[in-house]
Amino acid sequence: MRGNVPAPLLASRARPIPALAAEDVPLAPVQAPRTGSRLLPFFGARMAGGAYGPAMWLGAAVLGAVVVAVAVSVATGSAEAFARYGPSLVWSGTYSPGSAQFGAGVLVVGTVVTTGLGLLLAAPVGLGAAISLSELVPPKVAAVGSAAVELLAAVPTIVVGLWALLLLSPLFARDVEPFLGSVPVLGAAFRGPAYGPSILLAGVVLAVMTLPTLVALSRSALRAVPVQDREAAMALGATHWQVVRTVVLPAARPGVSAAVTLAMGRALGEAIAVAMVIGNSPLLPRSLSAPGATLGSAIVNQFAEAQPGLGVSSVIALAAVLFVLTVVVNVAGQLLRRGQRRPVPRRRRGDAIRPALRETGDAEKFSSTDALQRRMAKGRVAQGSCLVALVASAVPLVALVGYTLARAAPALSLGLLVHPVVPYGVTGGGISTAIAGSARVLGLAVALAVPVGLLAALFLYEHAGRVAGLLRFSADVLAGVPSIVIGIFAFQAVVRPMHKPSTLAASVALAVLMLPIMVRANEEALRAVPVDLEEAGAALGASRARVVRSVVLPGSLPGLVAGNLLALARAAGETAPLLFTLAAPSLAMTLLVYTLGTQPFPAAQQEAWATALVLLGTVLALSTLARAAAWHFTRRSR
Amino acid sequence: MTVTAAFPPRCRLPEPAAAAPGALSFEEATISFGSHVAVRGVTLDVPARQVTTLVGPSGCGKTTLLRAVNRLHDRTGGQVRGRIRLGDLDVYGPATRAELVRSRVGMVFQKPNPFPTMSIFDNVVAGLRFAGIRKRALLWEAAEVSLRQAALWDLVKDRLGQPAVRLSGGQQQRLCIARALAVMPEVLLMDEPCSALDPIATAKVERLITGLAGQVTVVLVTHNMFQAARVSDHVAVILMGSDRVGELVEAGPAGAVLHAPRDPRAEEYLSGRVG
Repeated sequence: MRGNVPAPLLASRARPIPALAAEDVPLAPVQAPRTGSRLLPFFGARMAGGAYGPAMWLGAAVLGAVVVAVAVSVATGSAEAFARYGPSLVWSGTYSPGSAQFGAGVLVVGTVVTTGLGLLLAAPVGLGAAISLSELVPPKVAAVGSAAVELLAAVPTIVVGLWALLLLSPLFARDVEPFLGSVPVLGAAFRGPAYGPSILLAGVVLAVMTLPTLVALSRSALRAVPVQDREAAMALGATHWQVVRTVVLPAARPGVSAAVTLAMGRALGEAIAVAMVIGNSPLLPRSLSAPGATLGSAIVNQFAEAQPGLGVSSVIALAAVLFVLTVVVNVAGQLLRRGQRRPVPRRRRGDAIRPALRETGDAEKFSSTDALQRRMAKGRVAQGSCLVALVASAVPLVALVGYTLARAAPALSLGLLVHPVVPYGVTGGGISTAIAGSARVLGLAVALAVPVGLLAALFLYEHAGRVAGLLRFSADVLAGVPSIVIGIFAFQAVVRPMHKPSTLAASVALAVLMLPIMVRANEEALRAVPVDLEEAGAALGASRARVVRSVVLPGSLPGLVAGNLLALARAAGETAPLLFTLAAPSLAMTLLVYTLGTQPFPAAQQEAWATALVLLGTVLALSTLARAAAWHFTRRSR
Repeated sequence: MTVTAAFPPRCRLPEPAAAAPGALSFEEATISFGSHVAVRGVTLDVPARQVTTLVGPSGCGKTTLLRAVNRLHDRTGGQVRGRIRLGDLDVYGPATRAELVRSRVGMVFQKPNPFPTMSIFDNVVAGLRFAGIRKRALLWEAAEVSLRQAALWDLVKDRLGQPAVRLSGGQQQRLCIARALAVMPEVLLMDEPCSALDPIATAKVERLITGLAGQVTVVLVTHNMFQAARVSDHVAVILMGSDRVGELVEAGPAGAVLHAPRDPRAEEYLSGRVG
């Protein structure tokens, strides 16, 4: 090794410094010692090093400010309504927008019941499917399935809503609800006339909508459990299922519960898809097959007709209730997520006096094939359930995509893509205005959110302690804030001061929506880079900024791209925030699908399907491209 | 170096103890991953309840050979031909379950890997719980006995409920040894157990290893000749041939192999001329 030391390094010691050697030569400006590294000698490395710390703090500050601003805007917007109706607004059962009475009680019940139903259907199935993909099926099947769920996580909720409204709703009215009502015992929950639109259908929509995200995020949490932990368990004689249950699942629990919390946030706040299928009845539902309403669906339905002043304030009050509800649920979720370790069993006097294992015959359990068979049988039941869950989660997703393709393909034409939206009844129209509008809003939102998301994540990655903890907590709270509440925030923060809806307002809403997802996904991706690699970089003399740039960021790139992509996918499918921030439904594809899809005219529905397909295609193509890019980067960096 | 038809030589350790519990033997064991052969034709008798060390250069297949004993290659696509026997059990026999092999074989890995979500106590008794043992007295007994064997009991007896990852690296490794011992294995496989440890922790683990001889068969993989000399009763030298396939070239009592190897390649390696 000694012979390999670069010559200049040794030579520089011996060589006299020229400026000091010749006395009459004025002192040349002394060059500051290089603190950066020579890992990648390109210009600007030191500048980046200097700006790294402040930039992280800026990202963190913006994230913190956004959380505060959302809370403040909702509070000030609803102040008038709370002043008029008092705190009973939150629980009062009367919800009749025309009268002087006003309360959110019925809506809170509807929100909690539909979300609970949705998660009850989706969470076990999603977790089972994730376990199957991560641990049980052959690698090739897992690769296909994982790619599929990650793509399907991008399916816009409005498409799920349209599918449920036009396909499931008649099916539920005719077959599903009457059948469920006739089942003994269980049927009591489904009594009453079957309309189709109902609490039940809303729950199903929420389940289908959250399923791909649940599976994709849970699967990656499971996959992230290190091989060494799995092998430690295997080496102790654990069956495959025991490895999964005692080692993989506990280690993945924070990730899985984060996935469930995310799904719950989406379900609680999903306004548009629910508004399409819940029937929008302001009465307390007596059965799961009765129509109802949620906070979100009521905001959607009331906002357009709300009178300025008290009317708008009352609708914002609903958003405030929804906001508080989600924060409470999130905090509760966080507390539950804290590790619960199994307590050490209490020891009785006299235990462990002599080697008992062999005497009691329990040593047999290590060598008995029968005992192993019993253990494995338990595992097989669990594994079987997971595989059933995998199939069960594939069915609705395949049906969703298949039906959309079948309905939309005949309606799609080149003319549709290139012509602008025209009023209903005029022929020759298209959807080009909506496509361009969506692109504008999303492009601006990405430009706003991605830098902040990365910097804030780097902040969380670099800092431990109270500030980082608080910020992480705020990001989690914001991630659980429903998109419709964020729409209200953008309405308060941008539309009102500007006195008109705008692309900027819509972009701000979507950026705020994406931000917490990006931050947490980015942080997770950064943390996935082995500490050894990072330290190897530092050991070569690289500055912190340089290590992050040359080692951590490239190492986590696929994770960063994938995380940002999930966020973008969610934003691209959002409809609710655009309702309050864009001037016309023709300015975004999702809004157009909602407006056309809820009209009772077949021609309008046709066009809605076509738009939905374009929306779906765009989102899927984008995410496929980005995945391919991430894959390409990983290969190159190896 | 050419590979002759007579290769590999049949290396026999003195005092073959095939019938004794805890005896381990390889017969023409060849391990391959797809078309890549990692280790070829290893024939070796590991005597019961003594320390046998596998030495050899990086990448020669020591770890691969070790992981074949408890069938850790099953899920990574490694294929084992030939025969590996544990006492009277054919490890790769058609009726043999990998889980049962592994309950009789403990393993300590290169990097300490206590289960991060479990307490110290739960880590130690994990193997017993896997086997379905729920009796509190048995769990406590196993925990105390094996933690004492790993010289960790006095250190952790008052904080058994704490997360295992709060221990230092050396303590974590000793916890892993206790965890492996708790199921009372016949054979303990140790894959460079000290490579992530400091000299003091290394000394403690080495003392532990020598103390275990007489109770359990220890198969140790190490890079470190001094360690091999300090702890081994027997040494087996594995080297790569010109085709980069690991082969056993010499095995025997530690003193004889380390100081007066008969095989010229082993002599070359041990005197530091290759590898």
